Amino acid sequence: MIKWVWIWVGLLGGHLKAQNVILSGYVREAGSREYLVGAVVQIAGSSVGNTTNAYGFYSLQVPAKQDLMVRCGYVGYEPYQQMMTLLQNTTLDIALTPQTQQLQEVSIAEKSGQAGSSEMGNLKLSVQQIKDIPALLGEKDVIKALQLLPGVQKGTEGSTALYVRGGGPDQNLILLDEAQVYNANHLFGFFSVFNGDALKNVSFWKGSFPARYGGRLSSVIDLQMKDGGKDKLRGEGGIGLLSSRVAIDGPIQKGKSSFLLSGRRSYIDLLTEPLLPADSKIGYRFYDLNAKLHFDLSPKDKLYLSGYFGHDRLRMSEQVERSTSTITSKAGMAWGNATATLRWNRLLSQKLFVNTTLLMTDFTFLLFDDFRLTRTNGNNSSTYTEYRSGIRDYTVKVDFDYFPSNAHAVKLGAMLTQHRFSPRAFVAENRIAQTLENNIQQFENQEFGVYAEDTYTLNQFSANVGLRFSGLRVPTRTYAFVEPRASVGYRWRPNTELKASYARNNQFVHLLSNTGAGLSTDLWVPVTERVPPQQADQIAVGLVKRFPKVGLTFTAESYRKWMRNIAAYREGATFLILSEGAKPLNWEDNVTIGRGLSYGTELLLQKTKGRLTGWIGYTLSWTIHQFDELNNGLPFYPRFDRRHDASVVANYKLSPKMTLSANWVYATGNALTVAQGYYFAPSSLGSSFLDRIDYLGTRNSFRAEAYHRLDLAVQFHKKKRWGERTWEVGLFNAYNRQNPLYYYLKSENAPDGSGQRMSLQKRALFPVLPSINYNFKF
Amino acid sequence: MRLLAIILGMGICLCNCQSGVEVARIAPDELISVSSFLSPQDTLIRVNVLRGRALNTTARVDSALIRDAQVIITSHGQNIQLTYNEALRCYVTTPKSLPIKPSERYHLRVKVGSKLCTASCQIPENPIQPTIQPQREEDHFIGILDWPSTPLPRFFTLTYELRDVIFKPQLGSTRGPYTGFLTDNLFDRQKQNTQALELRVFNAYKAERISLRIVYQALDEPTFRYLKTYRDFDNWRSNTSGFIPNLREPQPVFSNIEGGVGIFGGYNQTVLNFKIK
Repeated sequence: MIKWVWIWVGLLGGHLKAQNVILSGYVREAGSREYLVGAVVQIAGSSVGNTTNAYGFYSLQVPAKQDLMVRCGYVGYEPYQQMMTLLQNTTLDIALTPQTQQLQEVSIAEKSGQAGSSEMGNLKLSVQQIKDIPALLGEKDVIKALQLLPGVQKGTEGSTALYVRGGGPDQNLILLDEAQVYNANHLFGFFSVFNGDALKNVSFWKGSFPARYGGRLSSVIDLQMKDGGKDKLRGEGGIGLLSSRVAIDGPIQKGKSSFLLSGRRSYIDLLTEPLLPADSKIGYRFYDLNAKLHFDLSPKDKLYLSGYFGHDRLRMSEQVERSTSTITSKAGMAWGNATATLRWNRLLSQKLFVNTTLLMTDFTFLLFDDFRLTRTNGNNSSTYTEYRSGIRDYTVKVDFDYFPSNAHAVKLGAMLTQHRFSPRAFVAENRIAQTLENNIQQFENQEFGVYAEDTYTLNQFSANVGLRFSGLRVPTRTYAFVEPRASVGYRWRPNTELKASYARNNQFVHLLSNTGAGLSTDLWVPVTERVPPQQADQIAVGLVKRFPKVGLTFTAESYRKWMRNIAAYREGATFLILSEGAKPLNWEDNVTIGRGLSYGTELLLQKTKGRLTGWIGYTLSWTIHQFDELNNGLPFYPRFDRRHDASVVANYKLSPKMTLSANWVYATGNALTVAQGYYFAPSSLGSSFLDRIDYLGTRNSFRAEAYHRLDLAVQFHKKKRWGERTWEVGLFNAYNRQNPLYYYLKSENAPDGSGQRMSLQKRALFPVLPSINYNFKF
Repeated sequence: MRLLAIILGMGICLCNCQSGVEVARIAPDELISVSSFLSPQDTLIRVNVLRGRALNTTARVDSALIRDAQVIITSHGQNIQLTYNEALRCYVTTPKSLPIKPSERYHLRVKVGSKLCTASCQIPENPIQPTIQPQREEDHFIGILDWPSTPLPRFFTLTYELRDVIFKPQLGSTRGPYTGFLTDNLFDRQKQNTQALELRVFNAYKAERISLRIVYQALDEPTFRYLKTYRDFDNWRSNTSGFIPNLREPQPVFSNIEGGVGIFGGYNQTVLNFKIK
């Protein structure tokens, strides 16, 4: 192992001896000066090239005293080129001009150079692409757009939960400006918390993610908020049926600092509450706020401060007047996320870039019930019951980007996170008797990680090799693991690339879910002495074939993933257990540990040029779980095992003023445990009474109906003196497919009165839903 | 063509293998349900044999009864065939023909047409009666149950009820004795601390005369698992109205019947009568 490290270091050193000068700088958007992530900077006619890092920085070593053509390209922007002759190290900041919408080329998996790209399972979606996809009630959603990609499956109808290559929704690392977001959804999982107007970049890794990412098994969704324009005030927003949103950004000090402020609020409560009777109210609302400040302190120093605050609240209140008493009850549910990120970039040299980050993330869930009975005889009662759960993290991390030569791009870093989990805080107060019962559980642990990775490019060959050392300290022991990561790419033909990857990942947090829908009611629990960290090994092979003339790219990837120590509820367990009151319950008693295997092949054909753009994705996959304490220890298909998953996304620019879009999805039905019949057996010892018992078969042996849906939308764009407005008319579930949300047993009396009859019923959620939205931009 | 071959190769390489998952697909109509609990205290040995029923049929026991099964219980190489009793709607025999003894193992064979269901159980040792240490708290009786330190059955159940109660309501004292509930009356000595179990009888000392009847039943493991999973199943099925999804994990009821579903278990009980007042 050490020998190979030295060989690699030797390779780095070999390139260091070359006689070159350094060309480095930032790539930005012209006008707003927004940094562009992943832009390709190349020297024409040579193999010298690199991509910008997460802060738009690049560094190249180029021959001195030669005429060079510097080229820069980024999807959706006019290509840049400039002839230069460099005598010494030079800083070149490049400004790219956005393409007009008509000409724009869109792609969801791009990085082109002369060598094959080693990135596997990495997909990038532009915010504009997300906005072009038809959505439920016209609410554009990053997570729902990701669900349309091969290898990514949705949970239940309407849910924003992601199941990536057989992994659960907890196995996705969702980062917003580097801060982790837990339970990233609004409205019981129907919408994600991310407001597209505030986003600059969405990068999605499924499986083989590089060593700089850690702590999750299945995917990374890395979202970056816009920095805000440094030249002038800009704004955009929209008015929809469910919510409205607005985002403004602009300079604080022109050219040097900027701000971004974005907000969104639903108005179901505002519309419905006045219509409800005064003695019985129910209201729901969500809001979210994104804010960011960005300061160019000096040419070498940049400071970013960003935050996200989102909250959902469902409240019910009722007042019942009786002749001798009045009952007042208030109950509700609330949950929310808050994140804060402070980052300081410093350019230590033209080859070395460092970013230091302080992070805070907080998720809380609350369920409460406030009951008051006021009697005329003064014999009153008043109780308050509350259940809370939550998680709070504080993180400090430092990341270095080092460019020793054109062939190598090295990343090094370390992080430390203090986690505080509160899986159950139960309080029951009797205000009359002045008694208080409570059961509050808190766990603290420290997660740490150190990594090094190198992206090596030579001729047709490229590789990303990394090592991550990660661990967790719990009160009585420390878990520590070495995670090797490697992906290689080879440009076999001018337009054909072959790829392969291996990754080991560990995860120090579990999510306990009854619904599998990724709801906010799902419980985040820590790794403890009894519940070990999750671990996965994944191998993947892939092929990319480009047809540049017609703008088509075909991608095929096959994977196999082994998961260990995955947690699930025991049979019969539930998440709330309110009925047990303040009894000191231990969630660890409700959990069982097992292993999983998933494998499959993903195909993606995308069209990125012309009036018609979009993609067709198909996944053939299997996911299998095995737990000693579930299904009698036999393997079973988990709820989200999908044999076939397909999506078609199309966007057609009919004219500069009109865009048509459609998407169609198909997925094999969920694997469920439901009654398939019944039998009679005794309910207790010594009893001759025989009860009806549901025959459930083996675990998840019932397949729900297949899921399929067509969504349509048409956008009408118009330039105005103040900017641009877009009307969007959409149709969700256009052919009114009754997709199953869940199944239940319905019991009714037999027509002849001879007894009860049980039947399995399907409950569907969304019929055909039209929507209209007004969006503006200035 | 070459591209196609590569894709095909990848697919075959990673996907073409057995998942190892066997999904049980027994049609409910072909399902046989067999249930019986054996105990040395039995006055009649019963075995229920019924057919499973499909959904959308009327849930009536008599429409599921199987009257022509061959039911045999074997012990020490001796086969005893049970006969169908129309009044009791089950297969029966007497302890005289089939003595049920502690520590003995019994094997059940049920043949319905060509289908064969089998199971076995072991009767637990005779349970040792617990001792009761009575305590009084105001008008309430607290009984601390304890067992001498001898080998004890791992699984047991405990129920208690009031007997011989004479209570005369008086002004200001209208509520008579009543028992507290054990939140869980199924015990696994490996997982729970079962020393010094506490029983409560509220207002016990307001009665003129009162006794407590405690039934202590030692269970074999299949019986314990069946009763526990049945209780959890009952909680699970009553946890939804159909308007919201069931937020509890599904709970199948334990079965130890090979070739069918149900339970063939053993228990052994002792009854303790304790005079409180």
